[in-house]
Amino acid sequence: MKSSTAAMELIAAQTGDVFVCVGPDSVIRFMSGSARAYGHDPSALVGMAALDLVHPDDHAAFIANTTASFRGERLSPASRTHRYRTGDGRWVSMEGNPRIIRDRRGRPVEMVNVLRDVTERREAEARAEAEAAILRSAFEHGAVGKALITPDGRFQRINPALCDLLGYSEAEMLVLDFRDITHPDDLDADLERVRQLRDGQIPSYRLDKRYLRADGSIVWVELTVSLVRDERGDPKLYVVQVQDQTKRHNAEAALANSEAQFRLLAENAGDLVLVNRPDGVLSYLSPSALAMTGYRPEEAIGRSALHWIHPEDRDRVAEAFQEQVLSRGEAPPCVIAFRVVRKDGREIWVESSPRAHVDPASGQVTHVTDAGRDITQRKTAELLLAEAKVAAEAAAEAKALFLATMSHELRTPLTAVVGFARLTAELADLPDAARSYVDKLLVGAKALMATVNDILDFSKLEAGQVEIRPRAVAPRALLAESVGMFEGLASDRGLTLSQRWNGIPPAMLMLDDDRVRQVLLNLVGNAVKFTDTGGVEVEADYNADGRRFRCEVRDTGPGLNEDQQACLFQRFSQVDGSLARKHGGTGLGLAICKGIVEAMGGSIGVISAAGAGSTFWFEFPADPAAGALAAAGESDLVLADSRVLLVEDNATNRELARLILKPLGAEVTEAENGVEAVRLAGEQPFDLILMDLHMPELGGREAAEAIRADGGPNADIPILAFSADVIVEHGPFDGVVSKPIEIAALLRAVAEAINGPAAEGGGSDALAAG
Amino acid sequence: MPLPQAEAPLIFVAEDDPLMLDLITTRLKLAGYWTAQAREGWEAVHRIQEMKPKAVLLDVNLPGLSGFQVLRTLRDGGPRGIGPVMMLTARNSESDLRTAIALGAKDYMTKPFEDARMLQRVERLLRIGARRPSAAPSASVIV
Repeated sequence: MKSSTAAMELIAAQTGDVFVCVGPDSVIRFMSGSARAYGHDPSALVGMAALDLVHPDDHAAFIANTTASFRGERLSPASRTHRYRTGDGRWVSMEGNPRIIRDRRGRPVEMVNVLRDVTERREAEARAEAEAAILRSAFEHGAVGKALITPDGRFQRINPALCDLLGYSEAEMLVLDFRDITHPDDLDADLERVRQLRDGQIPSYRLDKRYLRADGSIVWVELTVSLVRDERGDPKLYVVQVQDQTKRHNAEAALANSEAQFRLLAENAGDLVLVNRPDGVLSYLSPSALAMTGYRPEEAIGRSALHWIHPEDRDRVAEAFQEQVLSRGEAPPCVIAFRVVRKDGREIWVESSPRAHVDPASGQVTHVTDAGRDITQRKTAELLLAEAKVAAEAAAEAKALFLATMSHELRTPLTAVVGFARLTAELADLPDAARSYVDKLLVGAKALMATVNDILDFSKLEAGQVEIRPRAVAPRALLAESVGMFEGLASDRGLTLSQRWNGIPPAMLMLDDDRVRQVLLNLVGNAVKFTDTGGVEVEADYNADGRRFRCEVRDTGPGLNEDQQACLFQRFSQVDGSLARKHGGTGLGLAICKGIVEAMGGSIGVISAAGAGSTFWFEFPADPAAGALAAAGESDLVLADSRVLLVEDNATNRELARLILKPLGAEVTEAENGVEAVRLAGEQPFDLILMDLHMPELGGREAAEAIRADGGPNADIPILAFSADVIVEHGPFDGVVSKPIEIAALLRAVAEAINGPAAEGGGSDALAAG
Repeated sequence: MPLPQAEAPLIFVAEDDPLMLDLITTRLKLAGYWTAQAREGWEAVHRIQEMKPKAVLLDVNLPGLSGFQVLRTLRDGGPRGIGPVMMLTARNSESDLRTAIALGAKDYMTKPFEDARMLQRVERLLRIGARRPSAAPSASVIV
């Protein structure tokens, strides 16, 4: 025994193991010296119960272990490991390796246990276990499906995510083979990869494949598979990760689908469908390109789309394209029309509308789509139309110019004809026959002149050049004279002709008597000409409240139906061509009347029915002339065709002077200050200047002196001063009109200045040549 | 037709249309004026310079020298004593009016015109001339 303890001590000293002998009573009989390394005195431990050195938590295991060992059972290393107390109170894990010593009869008498410190190993094991727990957790949880598959294809382990994805419970999965749930179309590819993996050709593989779910539906997944081999290098487990790709696949499918649709449309469209890169290079072109442009898609793809656009239109197209790209498709696509030069050199017009498309993720323009439509026909029609319009306008202009020129050319010799006829008629010693001939000559010449004037009036009306000059006019006399001119004709035709006023009109009205007379002569003349039986009745009316003059010309003629009434006031229209031949006239009369009445701010119309006679009416605004002005209008003083420059800074005084002078036929030009007066006097001739003395900027005296000095058309014409001063030194002035302005004084001064004593010769002989 | 008074003013008419020319001069004679005439621009210049009329009626469209050229020639080299000039034109043109005024014309009338208006304008020309008996139709003389 002593030799055996010595041997144990020797081994213990070399290995660091602790040898302990325990009797069946579990009392320590021997402790090797190596126990000193753990802070114990070996001899002090002999006689102690072994259990006293064991961690209380391990007592049960220790007792069971010891009992089992004495019974001769063999125990695993883990169950032979317990925590033992050191001399300084720490705990160390020691793995025991017990051996039972038996007597000759085979009864156990002693257990020799070799204890080895496994604290470090246990700690490492604990760390490994923790790591394994983390890995397990990672395997079990998370969105990615994971599985371990045996080399024969069975699922060994499977996580809940994969179960959810495939719709099977874990238990169901464990009896399945991966081949059972792989879409048949994807199986070959999968198996081929597995083979390559198994043969070591690839370390792992990634595959998009479809699984068949428990409910029969299909799920797209991205599969990642790697292989774990055993120590001999044989396949042990396939580690599988499964990512759900349904969403991505749906999007891709939608894209593929829409692209297929796009192509379907593009390939079959008559329009040209283009896809451009943001730099303008064509990346797709529909087959219709060949028919439209003569280029095959493959000839154009990869080149800039601009190359076939007409050089003059390139900038415009490039600009529209660029705008789309720069605005990242946010600018509204604009429709541009441009010329394309076909491969055969022919030009066609194309309309297109480029639109940029942006990748929502990056915000970058990915491509620009465009559809080009051949609009050559439409464009040609437009161009023809534009040309036709230009031609028509040119023709209209030429016609107007021709009319104006012709009427001038006609009027000049006509002026001579009428002029000499008058001169002849004025001769005192004319034989009766000659006088009769001359009178007839005058009638014909005047009719011709009236026609020419009609045409000239009409072209002026069309050009908006007719000027309405109201003056104080006695309306009763105007009406009586105008109607009276047809008395002879009416009685010749056996018609009655009457005129009357509805109520009493003002003595004087402000109106352009020449123009009103022209309208009256036209309407009354027509009525008399076109009425065969019965008569013509003219009724006039002045509405003092509305300040409007109205006149109606009623006849008992054939009347007019609605169609005839509609074209009545249009130019060159006579209701019946045969009537025109019978009665003469340009057919412009009513159109001219309409133009004149409208220029006066009034209106004109007809009330008629076929067989029931016609009533032509016209009306226009006219103010009554103020008492003094009315008196002036009735005075003998005539300022007809006198051109007066009225210079006055006070608007009320200007108004008053104008109201006095205009009704007498003076043409009044107004200036508000001396500077304006000097400018106007330098530009156009006047017969008289009325000049206020006190004005800002340039006073009346200085202005008058400037006009006298500049040698212009008015340097030597009469200038009258307006002044409140009693005595005015004449200087540049020919006379003074005192302020406040009195009508009589003003008229006297003006008449004296214009028709003054300087007049020589005769010449108030007012014979109208026109 | 009675002859004008010996002291009656001489009115010069330059007009290429013989009928118009005849009509105008007849009217002027009936109104008591002496008249002289020309139907061509150069002739007009020579006769106006020679006769020194109290007033001139000058058609814009004259053969040879146009009315404006006649006016310019008279302004630049004309002797004193020529009466004021009125231009006659067939067109009512703003630019014609401006040109005429700039060249020294004192009046302007569009054809055809009423006799009364023509006589009224002639009276105006004579009044202007009467104020400045020695005035040439020249802007350069009056500064």
